[in-house]
Parts: sequence; structure tokens; C-alpha cells
Amino acid sequence: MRRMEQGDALNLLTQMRRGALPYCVLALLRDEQRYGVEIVRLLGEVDGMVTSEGTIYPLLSRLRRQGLVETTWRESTAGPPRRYYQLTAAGHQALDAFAGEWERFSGAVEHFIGEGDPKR
Amino acid sequence: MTATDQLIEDYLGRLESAASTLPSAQRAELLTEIRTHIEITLSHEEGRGEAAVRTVLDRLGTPEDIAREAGTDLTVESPPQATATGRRRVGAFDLVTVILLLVGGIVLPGLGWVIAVVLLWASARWTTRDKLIGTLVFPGGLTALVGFLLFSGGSSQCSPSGSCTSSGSSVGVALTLGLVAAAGSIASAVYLLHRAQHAAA
Repeated sequence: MRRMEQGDALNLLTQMRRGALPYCVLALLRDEQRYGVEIVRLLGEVDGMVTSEGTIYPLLSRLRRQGLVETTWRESTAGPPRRYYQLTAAGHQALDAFAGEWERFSGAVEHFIGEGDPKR
Repeated sequence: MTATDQLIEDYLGRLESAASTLPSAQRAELLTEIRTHIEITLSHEEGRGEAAVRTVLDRLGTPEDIAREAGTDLTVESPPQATATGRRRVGAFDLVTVILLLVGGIVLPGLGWVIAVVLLWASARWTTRDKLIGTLVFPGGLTALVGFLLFSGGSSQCSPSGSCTSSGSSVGVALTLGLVAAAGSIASAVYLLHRAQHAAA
């Protein structure tokens, strides 16, 4: 077997971030409707989640076409009309399913990789 | 148009051309979303100075990055990019060769199949083993089966009720041989296409 290199780890983390990002977006919409700029801002506030803010919009579009979110346009007191995103029933289901698996998986990885003795 | 408006329009213009492969509705949606994002973000700022606009555009990332992200779900069914670019399709030439092996003998009796064999052996796509299989399984391709069908169509007798009786038990043997040859030909054609695709990968 080929030796594991640093590039592999970086590549894997990029893939994991890409894969988890849609669920982070769904999670932001779990309890309330939000508009695009707000979603982008909340994701950007957490370090390491998003590098190019503009790529969130294709992601939102994909989630809409997959039926996980739906949108409504609303007038704003300042600036142009805003497109609000909210979860559909399917979106809630997808989020809950992922959240459960993620908890198990991240807990398992943390068990071995986290600081200290794994037997603790 | 002010200089900062020009910056925004240039950015959106780049996005539009980078996203040219997207379905038009999806491209229009993307452009609207990004334009709205810029407008709303700037309306939160103190002013629309050049520095503010540049910051907003920088944070969005390059138009090419955004367009690439928008295109990712269009290629969900295809293999990852690394193999997609390295992989070539079976060439038209290879396809013609395999089709001629199957039906060349019917279109141009006898000669068509010979031409196909010449093409097969001239091609660098297949190994000698592939070429032997393509030639020997089965010579003439579907010619034998079609020949049999024409032959039996002439010699079998059909009653007005639609049921046909063939003359002689040798017809059954000939039909079996014809079918075996046809199945073999088709199997070897599929094999050759598979090998050609493999060689192209």
C-alpha cells in the first residue's frame, strides 16, 4: 500500500467539508427562514467552512432542485427584494438523518483521534 | 455608469460566460442571486466606494469558481474529473470496424466482412488475441443467421392459419448453428468494444 501523505489528508478534509456543507446550510434553516446573504454571513463567521462565498448560491440552488429547501421572495425595507429559504419536510428528514449519523461518526473519530488516551 | 458599477458588471459578465454551459434557467437564477447578494451586501455598507465593492467581490470568490460549483451537479453521473479527462471514448473507426464485422457480410455479401477483418487487424486498438477472437468468433458475423432466415423463408410452408412447417430436420440443425454463430458474433462484438474502451482509458 502506498504511504499516506500530507496531501491525502488535505484532500480528504476538503472532500469532507464539501460533503458536510449542504447539511450545515440545512441546519441553519432548521428553525427559521433566512435569506441568501444571511446564510452566507453565518457560514462565513465560522472559520474553515467556506472560502468562496459565491459558491453557496449554486449549493442553495441544488438544495432547492432536490426539494430539500423552498424559497419565497419578500420585499425589504432597505435594498432589493430578498429570497428567503426554508426547509421542506424532505429537508428536515435529510438533516435529521445526517445529524444522527454525524454524531456517531464524529464521536467515533474523536474517540481515537482526540487528545489523550483512547481508552480513557 | 460609475467605476464601481463597472467593476460589478465586469464581474457578472465573467460569471455569465463562465456559466455558459449551465441550462439557461439555472444560469439566470445564479446571476440574479449573485447580483442580489452584491446589492444587499453593499446596502449594509457605509458606502459604495471602490474598496467596499472590491471586498464584496473578493469574498464571493472568482466567477470561475462559482460557475464550477454550479456545474458540479450536472456531472453527478459521470466519473470524477481526473478520470473523466483521461478517459477517451471508443473511436468512430473502432465502432465501424465492429459493426462491419457483424453485418458487413450482409450489406456487401462476403466482401463486407473481409473488409471488417482487414480493418480489425490494421487497428492498433486491439491485441492479437482480441483480433483472433474477432475474426474466428464467428466468420461472417450475422450473415449465417440471415442467410438461414432467407433460405428457410423460401422453403418452409405456411398454412393459411399462420403456422409454418419447415421442410426437413436439417433446418433445425441449420437454425441452431445460425443462432450459435449470431450469439457468438454479438458476444465477440461486445467484447471488442469493451476492449477498445479499456484500451482508450
